Amino acid sequence: MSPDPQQLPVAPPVEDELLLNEVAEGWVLLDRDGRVRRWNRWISDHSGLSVDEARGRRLPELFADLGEPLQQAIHDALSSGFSSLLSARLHRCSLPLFDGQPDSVGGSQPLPHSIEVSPLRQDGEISCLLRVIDARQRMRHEQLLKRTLFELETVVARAREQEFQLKTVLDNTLDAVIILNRMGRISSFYRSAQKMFGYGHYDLLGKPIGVLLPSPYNRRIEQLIRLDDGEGELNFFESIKALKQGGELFHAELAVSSILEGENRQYIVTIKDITERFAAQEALYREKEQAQVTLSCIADGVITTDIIGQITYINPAALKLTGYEEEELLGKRIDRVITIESERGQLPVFECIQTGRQVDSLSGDTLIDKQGEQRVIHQVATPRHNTIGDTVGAVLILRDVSKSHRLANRLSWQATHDELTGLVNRREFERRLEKAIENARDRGSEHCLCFMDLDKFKVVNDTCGHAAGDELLRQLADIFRSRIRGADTLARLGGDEFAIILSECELGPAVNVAENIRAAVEDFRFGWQDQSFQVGISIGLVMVDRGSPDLDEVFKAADSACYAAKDAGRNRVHIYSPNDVEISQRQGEAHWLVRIQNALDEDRFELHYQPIVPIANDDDPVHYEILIRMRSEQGELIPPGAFITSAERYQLMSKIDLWVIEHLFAWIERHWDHRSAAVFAINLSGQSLADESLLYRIKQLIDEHAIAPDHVCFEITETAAISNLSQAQLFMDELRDLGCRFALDDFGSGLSSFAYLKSLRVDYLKIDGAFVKDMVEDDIDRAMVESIHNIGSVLKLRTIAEFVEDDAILQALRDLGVHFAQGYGIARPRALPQDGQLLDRL
Amino acid sequence: MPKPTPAPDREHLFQQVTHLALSEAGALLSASCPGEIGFRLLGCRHDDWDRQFAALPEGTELLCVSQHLNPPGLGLMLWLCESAEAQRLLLHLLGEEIQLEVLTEMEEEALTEVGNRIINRCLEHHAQLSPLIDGAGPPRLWRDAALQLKESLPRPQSSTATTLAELGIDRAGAAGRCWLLWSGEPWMRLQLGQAEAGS
Repeated sequence: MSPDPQQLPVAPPVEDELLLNEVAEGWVLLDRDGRVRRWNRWISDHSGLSVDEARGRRLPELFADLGEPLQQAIHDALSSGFSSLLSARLHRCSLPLFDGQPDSVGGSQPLPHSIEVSPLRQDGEISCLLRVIDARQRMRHEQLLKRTLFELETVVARAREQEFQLKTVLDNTLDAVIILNRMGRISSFYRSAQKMFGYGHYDLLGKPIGVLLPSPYNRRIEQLIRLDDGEGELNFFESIKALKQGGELFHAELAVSSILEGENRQYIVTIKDITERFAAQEALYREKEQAQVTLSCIADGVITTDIIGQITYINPAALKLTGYEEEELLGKRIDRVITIESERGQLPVFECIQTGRQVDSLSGDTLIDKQGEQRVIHQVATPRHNTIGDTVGAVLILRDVSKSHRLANRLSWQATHDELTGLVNRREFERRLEKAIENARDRGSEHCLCFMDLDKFKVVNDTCGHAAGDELLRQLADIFRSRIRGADTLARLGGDEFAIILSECELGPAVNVAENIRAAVEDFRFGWQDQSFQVGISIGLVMVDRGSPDLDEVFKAADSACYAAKDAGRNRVHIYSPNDVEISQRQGEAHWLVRIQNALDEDRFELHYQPIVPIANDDDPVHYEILIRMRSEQGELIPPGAFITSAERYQLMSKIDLWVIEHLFAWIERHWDHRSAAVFAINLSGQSLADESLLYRIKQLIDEHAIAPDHVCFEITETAAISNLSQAQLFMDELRDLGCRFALDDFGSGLSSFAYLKSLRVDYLKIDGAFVKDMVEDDIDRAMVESIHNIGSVLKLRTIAEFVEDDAILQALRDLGVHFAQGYGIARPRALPQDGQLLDRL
Repeated sequence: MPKPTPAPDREHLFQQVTHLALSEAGALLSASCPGEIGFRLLGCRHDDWDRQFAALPEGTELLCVSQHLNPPGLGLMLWLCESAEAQRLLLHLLGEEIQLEVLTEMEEEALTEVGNRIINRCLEHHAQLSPLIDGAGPPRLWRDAALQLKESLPRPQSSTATTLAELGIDRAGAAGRCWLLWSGEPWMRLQLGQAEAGS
C-alpha cells in the first residue's frame, strides 16, 4: 500500500528554505526513499552536519543509533501516509542532537526534543517532513511545575490530613459541633452533632439553627450573628435547651465563637449535652435540700465545725438545745460558746478532728444551756473529709437523753427495789447479802440476817382484798424502816416475807432490833374500812460471820429459823442454831418430801376409815371418814401426822388428796352397794381447794366410777377454806352443784369462825375435837359445843362431834342434839376392807 | 434506526486484525520504554456515535487522541482512556512512581504518542485489507468527560455506524482498560480473503 500523493499536504517550496533556516526548530524533508532533501540550519547547528553533508543520504546513514520508533514513523509516513508523533517524554532524543553547550568533559549536552512525522507531497510524489521541536524549555517548565506541584500536593496532603484529623475530632467529640455561615445557616454538621440530634449530614445543611434550638435560644444566636461586625473575636456561652429530631428537649450548654474574619466569617457552635449533669445537679440539689429539711426537722442537734472547731452550721434542734441564736454561734469556736461537762478531758469534736475517727461520748455528758439549765446529752462527733480524704472539720450530733437517763435510773431502781414498798427487792438483797458474807469471810466482820414472815396477813388480804394487803405491807415497811439504821438493808423478799441485813452488828444488838420490830408489829393495828386487824411477825435470825456458809445456806438457815418461830407459836424471834430441835424438825420435813414422793410413785399409801354415826336421828345415813396411812419401805404403817405437814409445806397435798379420791372411788365402784345411803367423807387440803385441775379430775372420776355425788362429802378445814376463800367457794359450788356435800372440819379452832359460815356453803359442821373431848368436865367446852351446834342449827347445818371417846361424851352430845358423833368411843379407824364390809361400831 | 451489525466472518476478521495491531503497538511501546505493556481486545460494540459515547464511563475525565483518516470523509479514529488510568499507564512506561494529580504538557504529548501508536498500528493493519484508507492526519489530544468530548470532537459524516472496541491494558500484573472508536463501518472496509495475506 502506498498513499495517494494527491491526498497529502504539499512540501514547502525551495524559496522558503531561507525562511526555514530562521525558525527555532528543526525541519527535515525526506524524499520517497527516505533520503534527505532539505535540512534547515537549526538541524545543522544541533547535529553538527551541514545540509550538504546530509543531502541525499538516509537518516540511518547519518545517525548510526537512530531509534526504531523514528524509523517506523518515517516508514508509516512514506508507505502508508500516517502521521506520527515521537514525544520527548518517551524518547527524549530520537535524533542525536546536542544543545551546543559544553558538558563537564568538554562535550555537548544532548538536546531533548520531540518529532512530528508527517507525510507530504512534493513534486507529485510522496515525501516526509520531520519537525523537530526543542523540548528543553518545556522540560525545565515541567520539572519546575512538577516540583511545585509536588510541594503543593505535599502541602495539600498535609492540609487534608489535618482536615481529616480535625474532622475526626469534630466527628467524634462528645460535644456537637456545628458551623454556621454569616447568614446564620448551618454549613457543616459534624457526625458528633448528627449523633446528638439524630439528623443526617445533609438533613440540616443550609437550615437555620432554629431547627436545633427552640426559642428563645435560636433568636439569641441569630441576633448575635446579625449584630456581629465581623471584626474581633466573638465568644458566647449560655445554658440552653436543645431539640432532638424526635422532638425531645434536653438540657445543654451552648458556646458560639467566630473563626474567620470579614466576609467569610463563620461561627462554631458547640453544644454539650448536660442532661446527665443536670440530672445529677438536680439530684444533688434535692439531696441537699432534703438533707437540710431533714436536719431542720430531726430532734437531734447537729453542729458542723471546721478544722479548728469553729461552728459552720447549726440546726434548729441544736439551737433549741443550747438556747442560743444562730448568729451567736456561727463562726465561734464550739468550746467557747457551748458548755458541755464531760468526763472526757477533751470534747469529742476536737478528739475527732485530731484522730480522724468517730468519737462517741458513750456516757451521758451534761450540756449547760444559755439559761444555765442542765441536760444530759449523748454526743457523737464524726470527721468530715474533703475529696482527697483530708479531715476538714467535724459533725457533732447532740441528743438530749435527759428523759432516757431518768428512765434508765428509774429502771435501775426498779430492778433493785420492790415497787410496792420501795424497799430493796430480793435480787438486790441477795447481792448485798452475798457481799456481806464475803465481807465477813474476808475481814472477819459480823452481820446479822433477819428473815421475817407476817402472821395472819392472809386474813387481811382475803377479807379486805389486795389493796388492803398492799397498804398493810407499806405501813409495816415504814415500821421496819424506822427501826433500823441507815447502813442496814431492809428488803421485801416477796408476799409477806421481809428480811434485814443488820450490818456490822453482833447478835445481842441484833436480837434487840428484831424484838423491837416484833413488838412494834404486835402493837400495830391496821385499820381498813371500819375494821381493825392485828398481825404478828415471826422472825428468824442468823449470824453472818467468818464461818458462814454460802448465800443459799445462810438464807436456808434464816428461813428455817423463821419457820421455827412460827411453829413455836408465831409472833416471836428465833435465833438460828444448828442444834435446834425445831430446826432439825424442819430439816426432817425435807426428808419427808422424798419419802412422800416415793410412796406416791410406789403406791404405798393405804385407805382407812372411821365411822361417823348418827346420834340424833336414826334415819340419818352413816358417814365414813376416809383416812390415809403411809406404808414405809420397811412395811411399817405411818400415820398422817408424820407426813401431812411436810406434804403441805412442799405442795404435795393435792397429789395425796387425788390419790385418796381415785382409790376410794375405785373401791366404791368395786365393793359398795349403791343402794346404801352411806356417805363417804374425804378430807381436802387447802392446796387442793386452790387446784382447778383437781376439781376437773374429781368430776371426771365421779363419771368414770359412776359415783352418786350425794354419797360423797368433802371435809375442809376452816383454815384451808379461809386461806383460799374465793377459790374454795368456787370449788365447793362446782361440786355442790353436782350433788356432793361439804363439811367444815375442826370448826371452832380457827381464827374467824362464825364470820365465814355465811360465805361457805357447807352441809355439816364438824365441831373441833378439842372442845368435845373435855366437854363433860369443862363447862366452857360444853358451851362451845352447844353454841356451835346452835349456830349450825340456825344455819340449817348438820353438826358432827369428833373425839367422842366415851359414852358420857356421846350422851352429852345427844343431850345437846348434835347430829353425828365420831371417835374412838364409837369406832377406831381401820383399813378399808377388800370385801366391802364396813363396820359402824367397835 | 437498527444498529449496523457486521456479518460474523467480517466481525471475526475485524477482531483478528485489531488483535494483531494491538500486540504490535504494545511491543513497539515496550521496546522503546523502560516499562513493558500490552493491549488486548476485550470486545466490540457496533452502534451509532452518540450511543457509543454514552457507553463510556461517566463522571470521570477521559483522555482522547484523535486522528482524521484520509481521504477526508473517511472519518475519525479515537483512542480513549480514563485520565487516571492513562497517567498510570504512562508512569509504568516511563518506569516512574511519583504520580501527580495533573498531567504536564510533556506527559500529554507522551500519551498522545501512545494513542498515535495504537491508532497507527490498527490503521496500518486495516489499511492492508482496505484500499480505502489512505493515511491519517496528525494526532490530537482531548481531555474531557465522555459527553463533552462527543460535543467537542468533529462529528463524522457517517455517525450511525461506529465501532467501539474495549481494550485491556496489561502492565506488570496490574490491569486497566481503554477504548478505540472507529467512525464509519471499519469492518465493511475489510476485504475478505486478504486477511491471511495481511497478517
